[in-house]
Amino acid sequence: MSTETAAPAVPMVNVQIDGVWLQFPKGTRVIEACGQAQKFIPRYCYHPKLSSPGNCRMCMVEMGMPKMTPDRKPVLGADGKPEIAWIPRPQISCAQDVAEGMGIRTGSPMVEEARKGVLEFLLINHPLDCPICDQAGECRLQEFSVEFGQGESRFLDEKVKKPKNVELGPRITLDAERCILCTRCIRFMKEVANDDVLGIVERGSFNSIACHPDRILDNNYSLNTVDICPVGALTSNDFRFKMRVWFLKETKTIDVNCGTGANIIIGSRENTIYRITPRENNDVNGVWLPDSHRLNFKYVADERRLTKPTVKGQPVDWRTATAIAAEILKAHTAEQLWLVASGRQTNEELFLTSRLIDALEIEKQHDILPRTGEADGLLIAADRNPNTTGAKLIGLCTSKPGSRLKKLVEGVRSGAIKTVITLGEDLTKCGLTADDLKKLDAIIALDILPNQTTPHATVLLPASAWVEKRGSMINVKGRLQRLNRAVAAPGEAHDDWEILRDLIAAVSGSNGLAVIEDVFKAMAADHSEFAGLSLSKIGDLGLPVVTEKTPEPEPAAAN
Amino acid sequence: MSENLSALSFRKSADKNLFERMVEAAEKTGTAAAPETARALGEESLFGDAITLGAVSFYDFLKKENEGKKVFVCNGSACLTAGTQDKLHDALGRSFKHEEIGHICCLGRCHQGGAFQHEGRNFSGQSDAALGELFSGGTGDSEDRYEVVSHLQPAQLTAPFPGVEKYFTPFRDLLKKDRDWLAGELKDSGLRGRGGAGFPLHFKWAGCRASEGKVKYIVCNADEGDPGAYIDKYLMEQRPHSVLLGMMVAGWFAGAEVGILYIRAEYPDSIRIVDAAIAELRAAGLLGKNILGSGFNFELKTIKGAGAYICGEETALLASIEGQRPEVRVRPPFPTVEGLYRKPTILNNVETFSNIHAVLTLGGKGYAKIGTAQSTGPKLLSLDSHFAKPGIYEVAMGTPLADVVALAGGFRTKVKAIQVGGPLGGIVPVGKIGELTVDFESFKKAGFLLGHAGVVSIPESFPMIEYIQHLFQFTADESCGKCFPCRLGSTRGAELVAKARSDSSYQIDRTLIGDLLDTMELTSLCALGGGVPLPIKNALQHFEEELRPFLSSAPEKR
Ligand SMILES: Cc1cc2nc3c(=O)[nH]c(=O)nc-3n(C[C@H](O)[C@H](O)[C@H](O)COP(=O)(O)O)c2cc1C
Ligand code: SF4
Ligand code: SF4
Ligand code: FES
Repeated sequence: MSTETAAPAVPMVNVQIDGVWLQFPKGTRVIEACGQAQKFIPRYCYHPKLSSPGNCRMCMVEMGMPKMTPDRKPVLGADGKPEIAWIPRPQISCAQDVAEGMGIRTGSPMVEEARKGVLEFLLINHPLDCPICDQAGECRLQEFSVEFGQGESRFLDEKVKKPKNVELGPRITLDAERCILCTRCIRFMKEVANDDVLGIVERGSFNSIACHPDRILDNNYSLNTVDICPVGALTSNDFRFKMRVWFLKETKTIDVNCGTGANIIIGSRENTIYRITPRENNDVNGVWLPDSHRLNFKYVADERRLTKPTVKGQPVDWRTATAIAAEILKAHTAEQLWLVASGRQTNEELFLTSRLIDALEIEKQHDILPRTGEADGLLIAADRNPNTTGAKLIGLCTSKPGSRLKKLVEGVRSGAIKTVITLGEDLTKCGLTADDLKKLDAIIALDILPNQTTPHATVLLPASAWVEKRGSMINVKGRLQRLNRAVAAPGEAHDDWEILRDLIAAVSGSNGLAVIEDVFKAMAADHSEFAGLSLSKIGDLGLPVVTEKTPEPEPAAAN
Repeated sequence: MSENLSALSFRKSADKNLFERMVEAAEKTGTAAAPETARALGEESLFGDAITLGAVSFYDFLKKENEGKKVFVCNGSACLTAGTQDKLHDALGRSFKHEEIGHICCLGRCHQGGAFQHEGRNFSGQSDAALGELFSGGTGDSEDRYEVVSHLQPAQLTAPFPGVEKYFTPFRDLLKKDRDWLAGELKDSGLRGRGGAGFPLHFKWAGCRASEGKVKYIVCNADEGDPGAYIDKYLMEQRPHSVLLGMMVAGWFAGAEVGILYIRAEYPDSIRIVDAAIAELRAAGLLGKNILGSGFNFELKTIKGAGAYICGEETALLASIEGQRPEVRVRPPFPTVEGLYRKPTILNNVETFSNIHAVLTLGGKGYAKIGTAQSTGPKLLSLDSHFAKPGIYEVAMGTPLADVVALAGGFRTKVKAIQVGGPLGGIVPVGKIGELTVDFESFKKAGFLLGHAGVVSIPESFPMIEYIQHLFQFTADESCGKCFPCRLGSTRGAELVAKARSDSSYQIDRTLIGDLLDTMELTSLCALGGGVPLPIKNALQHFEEELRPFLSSAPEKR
């Protein structure tokens, strides 16, 4: 079956960078080629995901093409390589692709003079209020002026005054004085968000960024402009002035607001999350993230977080809580039990849940609660559970998630089902009413916040939020990705997988799982998709593990 | 970046183009920047809102500040050095409120000075009495009078117009010939663009002809923005058929069916006269479908500008026609490959197109006999009011500049320098006039620029430091603002000079201004920011003594 199909040949071109000949695939931008050759070219307007207007003039390099003989053959030098005819003026490197025989100099005196000059003009209009600027620490102006400029402008006394606090939209403020008019924000809104609300108005030195007078920048992707603004002229109202970026601890993890699994960075300090920003992954989210996903982390620090295990509302220690839960489960026949798992659980948690199901012999009495919304055509998937693919793979639901919940409702109402375990889901969202819940013998609930079910819980087990734990998930495209812990869970809340492990042990004896890596190993033994992998092997960018397209989950009602 | 916008604009281009509607909207109130107008325009054209407002607020005659202005005083270089405008301002102040007087940059009345526009008509050199008559309901005298002299014999561009029938004979003959033949003639002619850069015409035309695509355009750059230049204006108003013939030949050659003349709003007569000439050609069966049975279809139309110097730059001009902000674009792609609405486009200057008739009648080789080896053909110069006989002068390329000055009767006033080629052209001290011949190479070698060859005189009484400030300010006002060096450098330069002029204790650091000019020159995207350092460096070099009090004495080492 292995008919070798030759990989499509990407033609390579020879390019000389700072005297060294290298090969690059045709179509590589000069600025990218230099970067790949470890020669970083400073830039403001260029962004690899947007069009190149070539307006900041910062990415200047010297460029040349091979010298040609009259019959159009390259002139070869003593080393047998083409000789280069250098263009007498520096050229921008962001708007041109490499070409065969091209020569580039990234640090010649001409190039350095050009960059220094451009930077000095820029600094003129800049308020130099770095100590109070949110961008300080990640400002390209600050960075480049130290590295490529003379660190200050000799024109300091004559700054053009522009408005400092322009509310562009509910989440974004513009400091027009800092704006260097690189147009990244405009291009992002037009080319990526498809919402052309920003533009430049006026002319020449009066140029400024504006929203159309009747419009505001309220698009669900607006905060991406803050990320790409190279100088901190756009700030997030949510993050503004709250914390200097250099104090933030950065944790690489993934978003759980939908099945896309956008890669993110959590910025936290002393156990408090300050912001969430996108992390580049071209197989998932590029470098973007919707505002709704970024800002949905406040609940993690909610003061109502569950912090202590309780039995019938009374605080108990973990050992007691686990023991009582196990007793309840053992006191019922398998037919009297039902388990609601969650598409928000990690693979490891789902796997342990499947073990619990095996221990309780409730082979078909379980499901997950589907969550669906509308896909936005950009990054937000219709599936609002982050790990439906994992739940299907590990067998917590059928190919139609939620299709069995009907049976749960019927069973509870008929009295056949006496005890329900819920792992992070509110049972009233699964079709049951508060009266239904009252009829049950017992509810064992694992969760992080109070909901309509928790007051009815016999045993309530405080768990960890997604930012507080490690584990893996599989996104809607079948990519296995990793969650990491940014902050610690509050009070006595435990990691979910540990709660499940202890519960299984209490029901059926010790299972020898000491660390989460052991869980992964056991899971890999049962499910070939994980074979040969480990949490560390997944890497920061994840791996495709499910190739055939998993059908989009149908709403429960459809079955 | 503008891919989608171009496509949208193209979709609507058949009937009435967005930019034309912006200009039309402003005609009622003086501005198209009112939010409801901008939004309506944007909706109609399917553009995003921000685009339309961004475009509208760019133009002098569309932006909000233009609302309610009734009379526009020229603030171009030639009227400035003519010293007429302060007096004119005072005189107008008697008939208009301060807020009703606006500015306009160069009406092509540089031969007279005192230029202004009122109710769409241009005036210059008016006496107080004439002004009084005009504003008390009179019709006034708006006629444009200047010398037209040909040093070249027989005259080519300024030759008398023999009537459509005769003038278009070479065009009729051409329709029976083949395009490769014309390609050869164009190459032999050595004709180079007259808009400033001197780019060989046959390359451009052949490039567009070779570009794939059924839809192509011919665009005539009639934005003649250089203060001091009224060459294109002369051609459009007195020899309009020459421009149109050139465009028609280009259309036939490249396979385009539409030609557009982008004419600046400062030239209302040009628009009127060109429109009339187009109608005349249509009536004569020289425009339209299947022209003279040749299978060649061609239509021409004019589009009126809205007050922005940068619209003379080719990529900005194309963006302007498309209704986008007229910002300069990075090339490549060149217009011959992706021009108007992203279709292959030949874009030439008015005077360049006007030369085509001579190429056809003389043949490529015959044409190349006029001029020098590298700069072939005839060239027009426009002389300002400091000359004894200001007007349009036709010479063969390579003619000594001193001969032109002599032909014009020398200077009326004591002049210390002339700026040739517009605000981005060199400042030539009068002592150097004798060293120059009218061609691209001679000017370049001496550190100047022939450009489009409008000539502005700087009289001895006019401070060079003020002229430098004027150049910086002109650039700051007219910069499209897209690239940092030009937008920021010109503003900074103007500020430095203004400070040195107003504060005698302040001197401009020579190194600082040198670095500023070098940065603009080396790093600007287009020839506005990249070009203005040339005349300023010329002035600093040749007028060092006059400028010394404004500059720090010892050039610092860095
Ligand atoms: C700032 C700027 C202003 C220009 N203004 C004009 C102009 O008013 N008319 C013109 O024909 N070309 C102007 N040009 C040159 C055009 O970009 C272009 O080179 C020219 O129209 C090409 O035609 P040609 O080859 O026939 O000269 C300008 C260029 C720059 C950079
Ligand atoms: S606000 Fe920021 S991203 Fe937008 S143009 Fe200004 S500097 Fe660039
Ligand atoms: S040099 Fe000036 S006019 Fe030209 S693109 Fe740059 S800002 Fe615009
Ligand atoms: S990165 Fe701005 S011009 Fe290249």
